[in-house]
Amino acid sequence: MSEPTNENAPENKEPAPNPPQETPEEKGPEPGEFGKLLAENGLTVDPLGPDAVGVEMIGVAPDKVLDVAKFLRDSQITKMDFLMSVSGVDHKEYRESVYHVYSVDTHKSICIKVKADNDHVPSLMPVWPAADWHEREAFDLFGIIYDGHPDLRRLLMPVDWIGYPLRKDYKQDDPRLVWNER
Amino acid sequence: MSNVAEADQTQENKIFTTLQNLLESNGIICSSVDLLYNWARSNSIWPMTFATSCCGIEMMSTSASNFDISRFGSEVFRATPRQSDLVITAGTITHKMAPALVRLYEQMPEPKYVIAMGACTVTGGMYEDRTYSVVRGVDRLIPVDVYVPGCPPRPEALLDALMLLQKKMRKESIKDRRQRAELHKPKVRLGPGEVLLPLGTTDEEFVRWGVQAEGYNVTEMQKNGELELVRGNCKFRHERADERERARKQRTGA
Repeated sequence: MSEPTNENAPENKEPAPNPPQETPEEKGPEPGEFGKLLAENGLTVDPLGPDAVGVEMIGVAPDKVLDVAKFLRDSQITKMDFLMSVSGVDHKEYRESVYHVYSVDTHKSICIKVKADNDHVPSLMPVWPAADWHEREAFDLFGIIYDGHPDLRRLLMPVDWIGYPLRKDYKQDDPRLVWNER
Repeated sequence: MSNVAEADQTQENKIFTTLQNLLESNGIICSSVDLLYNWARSNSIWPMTFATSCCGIEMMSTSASNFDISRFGSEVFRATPRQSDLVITAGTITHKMAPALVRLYEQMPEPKYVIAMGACTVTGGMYEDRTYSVVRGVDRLIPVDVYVPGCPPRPEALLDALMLLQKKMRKESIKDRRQRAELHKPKVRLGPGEVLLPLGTTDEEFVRWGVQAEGYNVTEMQKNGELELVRGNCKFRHERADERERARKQRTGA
């Protein structure tokens, strides 16, 4: 009599822990403070959660990034008046432009990530003029083309350089540089 | 074409010897001219203000009171190549900086000297392995007299290099200054079929430049049409890229 009860008991217990494991994986990150504010004002963004130091990250489509940037700068709640950095990221399939913006007034910052549409991203120079050289650098090293930038030239590499050196698939095969081979 | 240079040199030596004989027959001894000339020259080496990165800080430290480069007569850092005898390449040279460095070197008057300061200018340093933008050693662009290893070297090392350079200068003779000028022409150690030509060089000049293509008879190659002359400042042309590629593949085993 004791044997069948022992066999039945683990069978009954097995299905019990399964349902709670499935539910948290399906949910994406919750929209943070700025994500909610943007959604209230009719600007839908992709919440990406906080980064390692707790700065809220949002993903924005290239055609909406100018509106979002203008809102973040002009809104009396956010007052994002200081563009800290523009970075380029190479994900192999696509390139990404990442903006870190800070508010001198509220001491809060936000990270805006824009997936480049076939390497094209609108320039944020009309909103934050500081983007000028940052975007030129990202163009120089990653080949991200910032539409609307008034002077998109190479910044760090020589003017006649071929290719974008920080891309993952970059291979230096410029015949003019044979003399500098290892 | 090399005969032209040789003829020039022998003629110059003849003039010197006849002049020396003439003076000596009149009771004037010329034997100490070299000594005097080199003494004056080696004790007033004016360096050019050329610092591209952290080695520049050590160079400044060398010129400051603790180490005091003026003990060797080199405290006058000139901000123009036209007044300087020495270029201390203090820092990494990138592809963007390379044409500027070659141009500055070419603007310096003879006799001119180069001290390669720091690992970056000796071999490329920590950028030597996989770099897309750094020149692997400044001797690929200009001839170097003294190499100073270190990252960055201490001021004592730079002073030691300066003293070595002084020793070298004291051994030189005023007679073979043409030969020295040859040695101090900017040169690029290129493979077969590649030669750097500065702007405005003539065909005679080319032979001197061609010396750098080691183990190859450049004039012969030029006759056979294996080599193409490219004019312009710091422009390079390769004619045997496939050969080099094969050699590199063999070397790396790819």
